Amino acid sequence: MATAAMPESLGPTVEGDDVAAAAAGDRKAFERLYRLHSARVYSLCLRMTGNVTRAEELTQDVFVRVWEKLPLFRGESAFTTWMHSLAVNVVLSARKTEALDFGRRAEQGGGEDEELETWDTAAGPDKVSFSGERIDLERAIARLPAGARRVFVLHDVEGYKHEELAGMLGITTGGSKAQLHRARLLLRRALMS
Amino acid sequence: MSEHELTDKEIEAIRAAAAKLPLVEPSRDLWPGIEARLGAQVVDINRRAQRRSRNFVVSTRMLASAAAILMMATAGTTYLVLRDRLSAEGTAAAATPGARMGQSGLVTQASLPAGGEFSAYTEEIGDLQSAVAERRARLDPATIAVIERNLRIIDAAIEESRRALANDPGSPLLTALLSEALANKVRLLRQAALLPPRT
Repeated sequence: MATAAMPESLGPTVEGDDVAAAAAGDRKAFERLYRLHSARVYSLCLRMTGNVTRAEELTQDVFVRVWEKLPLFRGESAFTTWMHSLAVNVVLSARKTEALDFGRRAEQGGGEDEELETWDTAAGPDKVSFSGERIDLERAIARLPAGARRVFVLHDVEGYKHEELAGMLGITTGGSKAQLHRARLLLRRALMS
Repeated sequence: MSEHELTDKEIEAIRAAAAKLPLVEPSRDLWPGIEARLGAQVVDINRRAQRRSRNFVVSTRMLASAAAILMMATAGTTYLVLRDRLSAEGTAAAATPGARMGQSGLVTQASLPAGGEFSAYTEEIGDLQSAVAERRARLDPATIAVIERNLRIIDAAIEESRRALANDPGSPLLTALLSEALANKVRLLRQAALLPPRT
């Protein structure tokens, strides 16, 4: 899995102190950790859901979960890596909880892959150039079918491998590869249109 | 070029663009909402029990699931509240058969329901017990004694509810009582895990 670089403004020692203090119940230290990592967590949530409101809710859920789990953090991996893994678990767990709703929608003629989740990127991240055109890659990702979007974000953006995705998403490795291929095809179509 | 195929160059271009996506800042400060959920939440246990007793229309599974979600979403009742409330009942409950202390001090051993609606509690309690056991030597002995006494009381309640539920598996009231007892144990263990080391 790819790991995020530590922001330059805070070195690992300072962050380590805050992690230890937060694990002991220091909210100020935990707020500093939130300030340091909120964009990374929010970006993951936003790209996984394609929905601003849901991403904000999930970001809050992630940090509450981090707070609850901090006493269990033993420093065997970098805090950033540990937190990111926990964030992915929170997002995927929420997806499972919401699967019943998707199932009900599917029975009514829709389905998870047909869900339209909007993320207006007009005031959002930078545009990304592709094939000489100025294309909004973020918007194209947000408009991917949910299953393809999750695999694309976790694989191409976050750096997970298909074997890891299969376990996390409860699909086969082949299924993960198929979803990624589908996502890339749809992105190419969107980016070249 | 096939509509269903991608060239290596196209794949590489998409991957490169995805890898370079910038981080996105939330459009608003999410910290206040997070902080509000971190604190030790004071819960009037008696009032909750009264509300619960009027709510027999929901199913056993719904009650247990709701309690499990609540358990995961809140930081729980404060240690002090638990201590004050539970120590008042301490003597009698501590003598209840089934309230046993584990050899590692704060790790108590009430029989936990396996799987099903209570699996979230079982897993959480296991994790927290491990964390607390590791920190035990750094905590104040007097505090540990109080926590242990309260855990024995909670374990007695868990054991009693579990046995009653085994005889009457469909009882929403017993399910709610067991969920409540398990949630209390999680809250207390969380507080213990977050206690600062003795100075």
